[in-house]
Amino acid sequence: MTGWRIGGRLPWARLASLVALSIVAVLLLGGILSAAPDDQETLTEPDPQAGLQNQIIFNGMDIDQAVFQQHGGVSGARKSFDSQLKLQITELNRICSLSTDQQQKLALAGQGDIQRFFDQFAAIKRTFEPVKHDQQAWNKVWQKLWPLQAKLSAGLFADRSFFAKVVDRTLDPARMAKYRQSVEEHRRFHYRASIEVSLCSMENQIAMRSDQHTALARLLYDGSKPPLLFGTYDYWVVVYRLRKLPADRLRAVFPDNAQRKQFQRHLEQYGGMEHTLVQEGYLTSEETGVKISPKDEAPDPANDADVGVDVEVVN
Amino acid sequence: MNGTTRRIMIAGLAMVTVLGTATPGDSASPPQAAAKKSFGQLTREVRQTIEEVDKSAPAVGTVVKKPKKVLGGNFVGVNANEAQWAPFIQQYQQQLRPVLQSELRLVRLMFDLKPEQRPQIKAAGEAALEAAAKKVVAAQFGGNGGIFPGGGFGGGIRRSKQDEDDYHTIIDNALVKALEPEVGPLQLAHYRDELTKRTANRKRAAILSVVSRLDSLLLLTAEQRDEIAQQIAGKWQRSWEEWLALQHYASNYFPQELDPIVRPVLNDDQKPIWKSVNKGMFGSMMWAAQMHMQDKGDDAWWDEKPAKPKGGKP
Repeated sequence: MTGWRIGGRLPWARLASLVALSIVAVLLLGGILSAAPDDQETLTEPDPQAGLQNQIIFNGMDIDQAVFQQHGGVSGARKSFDSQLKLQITELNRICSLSTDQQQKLALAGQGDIQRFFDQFAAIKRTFEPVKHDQQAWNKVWQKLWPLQAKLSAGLFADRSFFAKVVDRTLDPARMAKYRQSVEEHRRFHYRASIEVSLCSMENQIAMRSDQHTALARLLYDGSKPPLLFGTYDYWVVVYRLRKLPADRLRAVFPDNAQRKQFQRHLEQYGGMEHTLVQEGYLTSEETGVKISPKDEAPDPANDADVGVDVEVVN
Repeated sequence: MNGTTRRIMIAGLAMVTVLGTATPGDSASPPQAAAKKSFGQLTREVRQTIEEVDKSAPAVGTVVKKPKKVLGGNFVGVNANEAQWAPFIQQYQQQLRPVLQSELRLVRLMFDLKPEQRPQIKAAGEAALEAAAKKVVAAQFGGNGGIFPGGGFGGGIRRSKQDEDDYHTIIDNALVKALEPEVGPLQLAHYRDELTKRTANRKRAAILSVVSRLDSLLLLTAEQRDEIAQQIAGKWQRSWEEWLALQHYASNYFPQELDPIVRPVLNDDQKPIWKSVNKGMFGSMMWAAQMHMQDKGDDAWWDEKPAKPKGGKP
């Protein structure tokens, strides 16, 4: 196990809305974050005279922006990935005292992950050029891009990366234990944050007193392990685990029947989400009892085939 | 109002409208999505209103008489410009309504209110909702001289940094005031204490949330996490509760207010990564927008008619 995976993959059913949101977010945040020197509006709409009203036209720059927006474009992303790799190695070295040779091996593996990511991106971008005026086809390109974005969110050097594999092979058991302990400590911190935020969100719809909030937070934090992944499904994870609390524990927190029933009704709205949580990699099959068939598994961001890239085999 | 402010306002409104609330099954609810205005339509409306207001605003340096009659937070006697802002006020009222509903739920939980006590509490909440929406609009568009002659919003409500952030306080205070004659002092003190604790919970959650996101990006040491959390807590503003909405975003966007806090704590390997990260204004009321816009609240309970006395006239 390497790295702590933050960010998540979303089910394909929600892809369309996410694509739309991503576009809006990219455009809006671009507008917000780039302080215009004058008073000109930069949010423009399609020109009706252009004969292309209601048709969205994207260019290569938009694809770069969509994937690398948070890094300010491709070159910014490359620089950022290099910095992240350096930070990963420094952190590992701080925890496990690596030799120069080990550090070099890790750097090489990390560079391999970065290069593979850009290769996958370039391959998808090439498929986009012929369809940039065809919105339906373009949506398919988006589907191919999504795993790449998920990979970015999870971290290029997370589980299943070259980097992670080299870490596994490089560290002896004692160092590996030390490293895992550090990873676990970070995960516990994230889990606590996720629980607190989720309970605050819940209180927008379900009234509870502060002592009840504290009691629920403690039950979750002390009584369960952090999820495998953190991201947009954090709230669902918390709700799922609240639903699994033993009845007597819940009764102790909500002795009033009416309030407890209201709370349970809220949780029931999220019934049946365990399949998604397992599929997306947040919870395990062991915890939920949900078995995912291989065809339903979310795309492995480290796998070339899963991101829809045709890999040429050169003999 | 400068261009950047307008852009943020437009973006905020559009984001809030387009995003709504993420709940299971949202993606399978096209009627709800269709009921919302399109981004383009909303942008056009917002821009049109801004242009209209700009045209009617007095030129810089114009001496303008203050409105004669202004009563507290109400808008009695303000000039005609207020009507032009009505769509914004309505929009924000709609967005803030879940905040009121949430507060009313807590009141319901804390007090055993009789049906005849409820209407005045709810009415006070509704009035506070309107006042809060107006204050948010005034703060968002106030600029140095205010959007209306006399500064601020019609001279009655002036722009201050906290104005746009204080919608919770406005609603809470109004409800406390309305409850005062209805409940005992001990009960009221208990309720006030509960409000304070809940605000503290949100603050703690928002700080934990943002520090955990920083941690995932920058691999902070425990000492760095503590240092950043303490710094944020020391400089805390209530508007930063909005950071709670960051949970719903997978990408690494960070509020720009964090920069002066985080930068000095980082080491040389972390600094380039932090420098490359997008930092921006995390829009007002995104947190409120994350609440369920379609949530009807406990209206049935609040509107319950008092039981007729036995033997009374029908």
